[in-house]
Amino acid sequence: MEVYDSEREQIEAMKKWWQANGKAVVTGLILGVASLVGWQQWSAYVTTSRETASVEYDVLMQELEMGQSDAVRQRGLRIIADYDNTPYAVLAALAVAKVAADSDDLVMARAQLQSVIDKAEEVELQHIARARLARIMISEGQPSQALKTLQSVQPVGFESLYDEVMGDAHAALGNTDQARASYERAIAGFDEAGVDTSFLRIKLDELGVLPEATS
Amino acid sequence: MLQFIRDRAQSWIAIIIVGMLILALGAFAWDSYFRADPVVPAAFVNGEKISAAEFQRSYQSQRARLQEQLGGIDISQFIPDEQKYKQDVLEQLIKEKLIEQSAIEAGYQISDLALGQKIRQFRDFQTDGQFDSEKYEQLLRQYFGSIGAFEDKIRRDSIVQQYRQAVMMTAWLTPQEENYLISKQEQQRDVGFVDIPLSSFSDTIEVSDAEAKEYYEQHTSRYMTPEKVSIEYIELAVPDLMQDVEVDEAALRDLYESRKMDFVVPEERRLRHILVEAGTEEAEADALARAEALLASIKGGKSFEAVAKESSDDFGSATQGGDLGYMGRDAMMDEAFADAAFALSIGDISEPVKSSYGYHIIKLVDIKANQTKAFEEVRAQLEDDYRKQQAEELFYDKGEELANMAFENPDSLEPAAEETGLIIKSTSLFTRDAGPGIATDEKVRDIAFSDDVLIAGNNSEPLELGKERLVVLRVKEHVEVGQRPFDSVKAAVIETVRNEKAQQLANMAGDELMAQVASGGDIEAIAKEKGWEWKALGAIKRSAGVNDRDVVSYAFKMPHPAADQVEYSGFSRQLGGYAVVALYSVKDGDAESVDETQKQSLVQSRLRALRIADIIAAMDYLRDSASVTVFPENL
Repeated sequence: MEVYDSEREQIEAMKKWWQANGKAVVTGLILGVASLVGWQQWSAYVTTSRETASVEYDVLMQELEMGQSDAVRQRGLRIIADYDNTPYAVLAALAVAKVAADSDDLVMARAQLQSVIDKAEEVELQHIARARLARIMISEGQPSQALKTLQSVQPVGFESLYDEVMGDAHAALGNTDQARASYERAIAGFDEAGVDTSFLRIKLDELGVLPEATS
Repeated sequence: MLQFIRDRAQSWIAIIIVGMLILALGAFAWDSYFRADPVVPAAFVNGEKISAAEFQRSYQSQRARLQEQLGGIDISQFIPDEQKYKQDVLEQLIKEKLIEQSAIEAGYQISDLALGQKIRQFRDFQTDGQFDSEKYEQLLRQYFGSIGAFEDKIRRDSIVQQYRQAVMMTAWLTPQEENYLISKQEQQRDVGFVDIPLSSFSDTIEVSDAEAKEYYEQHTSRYMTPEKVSIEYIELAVPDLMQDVEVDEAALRDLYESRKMDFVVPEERRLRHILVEAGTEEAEADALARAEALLASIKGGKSFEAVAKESSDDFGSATQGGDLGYMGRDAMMDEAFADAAFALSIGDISEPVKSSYGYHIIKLVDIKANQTKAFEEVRAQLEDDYRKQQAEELFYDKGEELANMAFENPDSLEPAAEETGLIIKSTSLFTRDAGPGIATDEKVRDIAFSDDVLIAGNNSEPLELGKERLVVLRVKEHVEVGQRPFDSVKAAVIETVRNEKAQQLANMAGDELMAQVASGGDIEAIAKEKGWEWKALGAIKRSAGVNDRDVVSYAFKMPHPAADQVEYSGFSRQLGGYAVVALYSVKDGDAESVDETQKQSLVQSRLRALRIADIIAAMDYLRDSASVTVFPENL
């Protein structure tokens, strides 16, 4: 630190410093305050749009529960368009995909599930959407594409879910052995987790592979 | 001036001031760093705590729900391992927490307005479908202590619900999948089979004693008696000790005096209030003006109750004319509110009081002064506490004596029994897997069969069975693993050998039959000739309620027969014998002709499986990537 002889000299030094840096300080202050205000307004805006989307979503779920498919499709698409910056857009996409798949509108279902995979903040929802997308592909007669989609990732926790759909794809392709192996893995996993496997067993039976020959 | 400061800054005064500052800040930091957190954790989930109290609430209510479902049946049959059950409950809580975190992180949000509506719709707060304010307040006080904590809980629950709905309510089946499901579930297969029973061979099979003996010697481990022990033990238990405590009346009086504070029932005040909600800051001035107008109308002669009913924003109490019932100071949610309520005299009405909810006008209706319960009223409780306290002291003293004497005299329990004045009890013989009385406890059996106790013949270490029970044991009698003598099991061995041989013959006969039909033989005719029964099951569904379930289930696994062909296949039956199955045709169910209820029930159960699979996968995924610490000792 420099040492000054008198108080006057010190004040002189301060003035000089201010002349050199004053503008920068004032600009910095203004920028700081402006960004603080801006940020606050932005977060208030985000909160409001999330809260509104949340209420819309609750109504959407009521409509879904009452089986009002047209209403779900309309409201769902509106939420997706108007509240794209909230997590509810993705949830609405899952709902629209459901009513679309129910009514055999596979193109719409496919687009919505793809958007969940691309946009969901919750990674596990992406994985769920991927398994559903693969099922759409199988329904569309594209089992190889379904396999490719599922094999692109291997998320922990989703093994049985993916195995079952892969089994469906293999069965559709006529790969009996691979289908059987996939189904058997899925059955073992689901049994342990306490998920009903009765239909899965029927699919396995349909492969027509008998248990190992007599003892 | 600046010069002055600079001169002094180097003086000793400055040094002392700075030194004191450092010490004070340091002490503060030290204290807050090392002070124990008073809330006991059951688990940490990504740094967020699930408290032991929260766990207990959930555990108790789940257990109660299970008990309710079971009616009078003993719950321990369904929860063989309480500790394991507790861990399962905790695991469930952890997964709920993970969903909550994932949703909050993604930005799920519930507005105040939506929250209010949800609370009003709660079944728990309703009587006959209407919102019931008394119930609301009672439940709130019982479980949450403050409105803030309650609202926070409901918010979190709502967010979790939104997430669950997004996963579970959006499960679907495409029309193609639905048709496939129904066609396979309702599939019919035309099936017949030849039953080749063991009995058609076993009568002709002779098993000599030598053969049986050879089988017995090759399978000695199947013909053993298990190892057994019986034990002697000394048991020290607080409940037993409590009965032996002599109660001294004077000591009870002393205890009463020293704990008088515990028996004070604090003052309670019965209040009515009118709430004017003030949401934002702009609304606050309006709210105050409205509150003052309401107050003026009361002063002008309108009844407080009527104004509350018409204008209060506290929907819970408004219908009761603003009545909040009797409340202690602790039960009041807001400091300012409580101060005002406790400053009033009976019949007074306050000026508008500001709390975190808005403005209140409070009327004091009545006061229940604080009282101390008399000695006689609480004597039974005191006696119980006294006995318990004395018994616990005795428990620790005697426990130490017991441990020492049993250790110093490892060959006998007598000295320890004499020293502690406890009696030596004993059990009958038991195995590793099950035992009577005290040996029903697995820990007791484990230690009785441990090397130190069983082989070395020592007294066991003191074994804690729960917090208030201590046991020291030793082996009284030991019966080694035994070989059952051949003569005692001869009949069973002969039967086994006969069945094994018969099964081999049945398998061979089955293979032969298969070969004959493959080369064009008529299955029914051959069966008849051999004296085996031909059973035509006809066209059956997978779920057909017939005997021979094993045959049905096998037939549904067989490959479909080619057109105008019959598919044959055979297998050894689980209960012995062989079946050759003929599959004539497979006909898928027709979705058009299945009745609607049946169809819906199949579709719904398939959707349920899909929903559960999805939510479980999501939770497992979150669990795998989370950092979770559990505290089993706090459960």
